[in-house]
Amino acid sequence: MSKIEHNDSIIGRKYADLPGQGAEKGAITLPGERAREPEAGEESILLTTLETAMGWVRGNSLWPMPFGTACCAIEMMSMLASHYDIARFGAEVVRFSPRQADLMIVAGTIVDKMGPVLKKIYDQMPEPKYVLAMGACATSGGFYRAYHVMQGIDEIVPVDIWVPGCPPTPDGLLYGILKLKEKIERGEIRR
Amino acid sequence: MGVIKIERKKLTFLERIYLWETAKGMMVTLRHLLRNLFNYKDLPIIEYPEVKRIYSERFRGRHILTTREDGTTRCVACYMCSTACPAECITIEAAEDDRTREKFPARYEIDLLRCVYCGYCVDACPEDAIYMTRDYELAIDTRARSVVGLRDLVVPPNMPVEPMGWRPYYGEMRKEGTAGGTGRGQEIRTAAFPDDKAPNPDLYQGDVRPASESTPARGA
Amino acid sequence: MSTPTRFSSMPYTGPAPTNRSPYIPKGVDAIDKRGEEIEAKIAAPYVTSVPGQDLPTFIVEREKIVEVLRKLKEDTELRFELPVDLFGVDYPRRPEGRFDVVYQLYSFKNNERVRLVVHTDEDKAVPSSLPVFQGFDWFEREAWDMYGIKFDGHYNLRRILTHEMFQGHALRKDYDPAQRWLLTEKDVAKIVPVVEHHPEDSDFEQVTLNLGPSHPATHGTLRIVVTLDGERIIGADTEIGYLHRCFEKMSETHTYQQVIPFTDRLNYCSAIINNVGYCMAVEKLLGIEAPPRAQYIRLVLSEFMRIADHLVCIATNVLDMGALTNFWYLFQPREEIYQLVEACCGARLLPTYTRVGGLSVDAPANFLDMAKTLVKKLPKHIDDAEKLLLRNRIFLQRVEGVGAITRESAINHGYTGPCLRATGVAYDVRKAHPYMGYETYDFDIPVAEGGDTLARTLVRLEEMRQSLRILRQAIDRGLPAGPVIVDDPYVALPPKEKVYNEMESLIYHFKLIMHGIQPPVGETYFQVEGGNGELGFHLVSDGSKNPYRVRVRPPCFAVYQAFRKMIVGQTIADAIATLGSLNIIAGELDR
Ligand code: SF4
Ligand code: SF4
Ligand code: SF4
Repeated sequence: MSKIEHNDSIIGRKYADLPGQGAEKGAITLPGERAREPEAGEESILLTTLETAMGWVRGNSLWPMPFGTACCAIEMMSMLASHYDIARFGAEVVRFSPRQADLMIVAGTIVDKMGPVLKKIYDQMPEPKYVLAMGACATSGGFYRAYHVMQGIDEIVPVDIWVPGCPPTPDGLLYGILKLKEKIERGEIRR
Repeated sequence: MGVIKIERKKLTFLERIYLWETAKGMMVTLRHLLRNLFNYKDLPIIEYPEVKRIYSERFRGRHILTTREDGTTRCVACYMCSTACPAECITIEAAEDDRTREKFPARYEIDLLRCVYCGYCVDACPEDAIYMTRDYELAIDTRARSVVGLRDLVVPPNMPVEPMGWRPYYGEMRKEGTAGGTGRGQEIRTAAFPDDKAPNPDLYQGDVRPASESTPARGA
Repeated sequence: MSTPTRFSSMPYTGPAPTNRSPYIPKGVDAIDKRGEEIEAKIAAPYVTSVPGQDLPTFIVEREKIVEVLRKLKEDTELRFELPVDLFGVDYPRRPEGRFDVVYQLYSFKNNERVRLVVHTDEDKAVPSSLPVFQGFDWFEREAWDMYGIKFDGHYNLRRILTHEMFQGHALRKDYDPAQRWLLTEKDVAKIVPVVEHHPEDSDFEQVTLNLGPSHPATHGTLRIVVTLDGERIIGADTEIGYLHRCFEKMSETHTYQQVIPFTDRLNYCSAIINNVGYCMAVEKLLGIEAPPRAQYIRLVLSEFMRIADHLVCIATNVLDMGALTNFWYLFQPREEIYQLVEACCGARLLPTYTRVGGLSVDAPANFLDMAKTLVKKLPKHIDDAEKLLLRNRIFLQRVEGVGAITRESAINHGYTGPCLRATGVAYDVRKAHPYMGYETYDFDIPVAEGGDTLARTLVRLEEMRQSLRILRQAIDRGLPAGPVIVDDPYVALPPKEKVYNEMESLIYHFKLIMHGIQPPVGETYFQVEGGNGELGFHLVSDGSKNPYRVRVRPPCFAVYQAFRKMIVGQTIADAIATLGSLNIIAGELDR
């Protein structure tokens, strides 16, 4: 593990280890890692060349539409800013218009009052569309088991990727987007 | 009381003709550009999947349950963590080991989606049994997988403490040692829990169901 | 050696005991004396002072409240001009009426506060105080929404935080905390703003335009409806509550320690300040004080958080105006500040770092070095941003004279913080009611004239410099030695080393987690200077482990209610510039 020294930054960095060797990973199993192992028969799905190509194109040009409401939106902004620069994955074209986006990042608490708005915006997005739920609130309501908070946005819209955390770090969110990208490239999401 | 009044400065002629100021503004941008161009290493960017940020040893990421040297979980199913948890996302079912009369968790589940990563469970544990790691790459693609049980949480004995995040502090954070290694002697109870093999049915009856059964997927 | 842990063998101690001792505030005699003086000044039979409170407190007869408010405001010696807070408290089955309506006023002249309490019931309306204090507009609507307290003469008494289909009043003690009501798209109410003046001979039709709640310039959660005459706004209305996360109800269902993560999420741009405010309020109620080392670390992190808050505010404000470069430059130092916070607390944005009585864990060994590096680095970034902004004709044209508010109007609306200071009032909680040792630091309150968007930006830029000044002094002083949390087993968890090895500590540990902190019975109010102004916590304790009532005094709430008046007569682009400079944080606005 080599540290990357920086002149005037207190942020430490290091080169990532090869998969499986990471200190973060090590012997710790990720949530659902076992479940992720392909089941018999699953691998036999053959994608046509065209579909593979489509998946590749779609995965590499996600146009996010940030639906940020609360604290998570601040971390999403961090992901868009200089340190994490999402442009490296072809997803820097942040569109606030749902008509021109295909990935909705729901960052922040969705309360009952906001529910119809979220649904409307989702309906306005053109196909194919993906939804990433970021943070405890958007995914499940978090610790707000309360009279005005939606207990997870899957009550109203289908969700493709769930990013736990409160808030997830920008790297955690990037990991989610990369996972979504993989998923699209594999052609698992077909709408 | 110190009060300073900020005056607005009138724009000078040079500033008003706009071009000069534009040029000056561009200089600032250019300086940044050149500095970054010739000093690529000092760019603030963290090229995430290849380069990772080093979070501190207090980072609050995913939880683990520590084990004793013999491989049994340290957790004694005392419900302290689930009482202290503001999100009420820890579910524990206690059982008792017939041989040693020691309590242990037959089922220990954390809903990672509900969890707000506050670290209260770690602070509340009297047994040094639950730690948080620096693992932040938690994204999942099915809601049912969000509930992690003993099989995902329990780590093998003598895990190095280095990748750990938030953990109980002993006056100050301890850097050396192993996860759960407080050095206290523990009587040997049962056989070890090899990470990938089927759990000892004697000890770990929990979490043998597929995760999807324990939380029915909602919505959709 | 065997483990001392046998919880199953611990005797069952019965239900959690409650604390029955009354809360006696510090310096209560002086407060009572001042209360009598004020009572003598008002000299009215319908005002009775309540002794033994932490502020001069009076019970006022319901019908006379407006009169008393006016007297307090207009008395030349008292001049309680700033409406600080208005909220309800529910005591079901109390003979003299179910609800309390609590008013709090502040006087710049004497630097003091009063609290007025009105007893009322479900069917008895309280006269609206809008004729005296415009700033109580939304506060009264909130009390109606949450408790169903009626206010006579309020022009627009409808729900504010919850949605249109909501039934019942959520903060009443008999309301189930998890009872939700469904809102569908067709139930959403249409808001038509009141048009203030529409010239007859205008060439344009009136157009009503809806901005938000999902609009890039409203940062996701604010909804503004404007009526336009051509490009000019001739009427506007705002709707909030799109992020109402029920903080106050949630704190009633959690223990005192568990509320701390919830306070993080109020003003999420400067979370540590909220933590500190809440913890100090509980500490005031308990009559304890955090050790000097904890106070020092709290102060340093608070000031860094204030800088981060202002950075986000300016960056997003100019981003809304189209200046993208500043966004990059200003977010860069912010990331470094979060690195420091993360090194201390373990999380970047929402640290949950303080505990009642101190801190959860000591600062890392290289804390001061990191702080030093940061303090050296930050001015460069602030200068860069200033260079790009303040001598820039385009920026100045967009902000000068835009969204101005007069000093009188700002005070009457309950403004605090940078927005008030931008109108020339030098009020800062850190100077007016020093806490955590701010009185020992040398810093100035920046004020500006005009109350417009430029003034607010100037104040924020200068405030960051002042914060850096405090930080430099703090770093020079160095970390005080000592523990970071009080040594009181009824408040703070015992050190882990002891929990593992000593039976007594283990039982304290067990008890504190099961039974929580139980402060004495009473009420208290504590205020800190948040990123946007005075952030106050009013706690009511009934001696049990859960707070009976936690009231947050949100600075944004007061600031935002004047917004619809500030933008009339301007264009939409101006309105957006104004909105950004007010720094409305939805988490705090809607709670
Ligand atoms: S998940 Fe946490 S950080 Fe995200 S919006 Fe909810 S409370 Fe805020
Ligand atoms: S980190 Fe906090 S929310 Fe998560 S399980 Fe632990 S106590 Fe519960
Ligand atoms: S993890 Fe710790 S606190 Fe939780 S049940 Fe096990 S021993 Fe008790």
